[in-house]
Amino acid sequence: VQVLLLPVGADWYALELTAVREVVVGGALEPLPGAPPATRGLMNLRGVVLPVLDTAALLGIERPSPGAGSPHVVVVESARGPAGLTASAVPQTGVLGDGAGRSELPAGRGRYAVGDDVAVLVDLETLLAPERIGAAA
Amino acid sequence: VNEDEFLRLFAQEAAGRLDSLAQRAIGLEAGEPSREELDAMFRDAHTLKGGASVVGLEAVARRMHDLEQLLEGLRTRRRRLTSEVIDTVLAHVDAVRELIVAGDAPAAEASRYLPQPRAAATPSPPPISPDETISVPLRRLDELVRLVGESTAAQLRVGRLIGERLRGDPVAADEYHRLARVLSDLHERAMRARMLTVGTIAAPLQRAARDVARARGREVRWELVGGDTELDRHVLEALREPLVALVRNAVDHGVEDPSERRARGKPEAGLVRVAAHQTGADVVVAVADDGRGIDFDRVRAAIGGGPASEGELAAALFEPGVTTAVGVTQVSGRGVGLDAVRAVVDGLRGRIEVRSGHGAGTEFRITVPMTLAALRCLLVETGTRRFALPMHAADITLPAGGEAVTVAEGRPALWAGEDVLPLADLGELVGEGRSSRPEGPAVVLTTGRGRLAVRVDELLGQRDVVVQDLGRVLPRLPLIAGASVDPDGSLLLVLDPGGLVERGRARELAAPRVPSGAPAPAQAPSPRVLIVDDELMVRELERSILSRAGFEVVAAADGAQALQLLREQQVDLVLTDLEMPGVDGFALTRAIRADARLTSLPVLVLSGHEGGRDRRRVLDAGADAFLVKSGFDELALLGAIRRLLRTGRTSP
Repeated sequence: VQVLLLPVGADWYALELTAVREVVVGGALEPLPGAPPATRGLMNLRGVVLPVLDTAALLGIERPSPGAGSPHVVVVESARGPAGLTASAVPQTGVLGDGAGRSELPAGRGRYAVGDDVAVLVDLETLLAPERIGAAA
Repeated sequence: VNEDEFLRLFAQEAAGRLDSLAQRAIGLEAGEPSREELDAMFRDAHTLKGGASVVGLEAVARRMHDLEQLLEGLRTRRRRLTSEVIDTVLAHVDAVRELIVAGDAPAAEASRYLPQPRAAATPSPPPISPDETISVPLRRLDELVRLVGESTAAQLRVGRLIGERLRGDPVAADEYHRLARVLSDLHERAMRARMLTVGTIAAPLQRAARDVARARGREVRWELVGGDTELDRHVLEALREPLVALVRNAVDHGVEDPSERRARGKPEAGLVRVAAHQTGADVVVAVADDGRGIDFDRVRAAIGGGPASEGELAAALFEPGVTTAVGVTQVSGRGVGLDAVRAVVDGLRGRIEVRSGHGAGTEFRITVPMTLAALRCLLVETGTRRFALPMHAADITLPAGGEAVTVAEGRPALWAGEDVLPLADLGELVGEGRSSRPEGPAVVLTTGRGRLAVRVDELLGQRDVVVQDLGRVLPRLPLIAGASVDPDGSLLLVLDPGGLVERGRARELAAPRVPSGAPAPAQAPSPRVLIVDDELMVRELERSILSRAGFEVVAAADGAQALQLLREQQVDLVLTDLEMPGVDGFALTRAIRADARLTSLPVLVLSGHEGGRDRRRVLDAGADAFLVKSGFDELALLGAIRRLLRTGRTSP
């Protein structure tokens, strides 16, 4: 499976390429008063307003840091519409190799070998489900 | 999803089912049909019947009813399978195909949205007249308007560059201004293309008046004034349901019985008038009757009886649980809805007022912006951030220093004319920390949810902003109405005055001054309703009604899926169809009642049949309520759902 490998902290997380629209350079984000903590803020994507979410917080591996900028933003197309996901370094494309066990994360669909590394395949709809966005406090 | 969309969805879904019916009918000629085949055909016919009555294609519904009867005859072997019977089945299928294409009886209405095969039969195109129209998907018009908006933003950016780089070049400036004029003209026309007249929703309003009048034994004289007033189609669509509710209320709670009217010296037929006109960038739509008026003494009693001005009483009408019926008899739960009406109007950035004289009629007056695309805003600064406040709610600004500031009930307050308003700090409300300028100016916000003075650091001026919504990935944020992209690429948040007022008053007023009975519902999560129906169109119709009414919606295509969902998710109410493949509505209800965890979950059954037998069986199976699908009444549905959610299960 063709995937986009998203660096989050020290790990790789894989998103199916079909759900990814583009990767853009992030930068400053406009904080949103009253938004769930996993919300980093809004960005201007060529004149269109896009909500950007904290990938690590949604995955449940780190506390959210609302309002902080992000060097890279992956623009994904979910069933509920487009959203931006933060990435701590430049994302790369790759191909998933053999399965390497189950993932313990709510949105994780399993671990896979990618070259010498291991990546967790992420289910986008679970990651962006309202209860995940609300739960990532 | 709107009504045209339902017709389209129905046409789509019907095509598949009609194909399968025709195919199975032809297959019957091969010999003795199996029970499964007949069941499948029966289900197709039944589903089509239900769908057709929902979208108002009555002739289709009748045809499918006849087909159902015929198939039932075959199923029970009261009727023998002959070629003539198969012919009849196929004739029904063909007739229904044509009816759907022609849009059934209200031909003019439906055929606008459906493909017209007749056109193919006339090879030479008729000459085009200037009045000729074509139908264009709304999506394309929206896209056009969005692109024009983007062009305008780009033009402003170019303007800044020209100003910086080509300072004083007259040719560049001239060309630039020409471009600006053309774009502004284009914007205006693109917006116009999306406008509809108020007259286009007159039919359902008049129908609502007539239906309620008949049910209540009243006589009504219907009047529409200003039907040619234009409104953005999104705004008009959103107003349709609230206007229907107001018209129903006018007949149900306003207009008296003919004998009573005669006794009061009024004409026997009560007047119900819908009047629309444009004022500036706003459109006013008023629903008035000449009935008994609202008895404000009864309203006072309903909200706890304390002293309250006429204005406060009028505002109390829009609180959940208070209705125009308070002054009259408590009727049928139809009075539901003034709070919902206000919520829609708030959502459109409009306002609603009521005027009523005892015995002299009632007028509800809704003022909404003609379009939602550009919004006039007041730009303010607090701390290091800029925010936009919509002008319709932020029309007064006051100096908030010195003597104007006072204390009311232990909280800061501000004199605004004759009133003392609670005073809040914008920086605090949006979580940016208290303003650095305690003497800064205050903006007075006036909304359906009350008034509040908000202190800011600086007033930066007025601006028309093109507001974008934030999409559906995030939950609705109470403080934010939307965001806008500035010419320099920076983002500007447009705050929601209603949300600010609610939060400000919650912070500033330690104890609510208003007597109990109106708890702030804003913080409660919206109840989640599970919709179960095997027909896509019905699911979408119900989904659109429920989500507009503020419910969260999950859907399942049959009972088995529903049970699976119920195992995984917390649901507050189940709304299910009866006749479905596999696990049907009866089985689903029984399974829910048998499950210890779900046994007290309210179940509302929506059936295609009127039958008293079904009703008894459904209630015996443990359902809490039973509604009939045809003559689908949004308010009755919402009323039943709200009642069940409020009271929970009626029987253990």
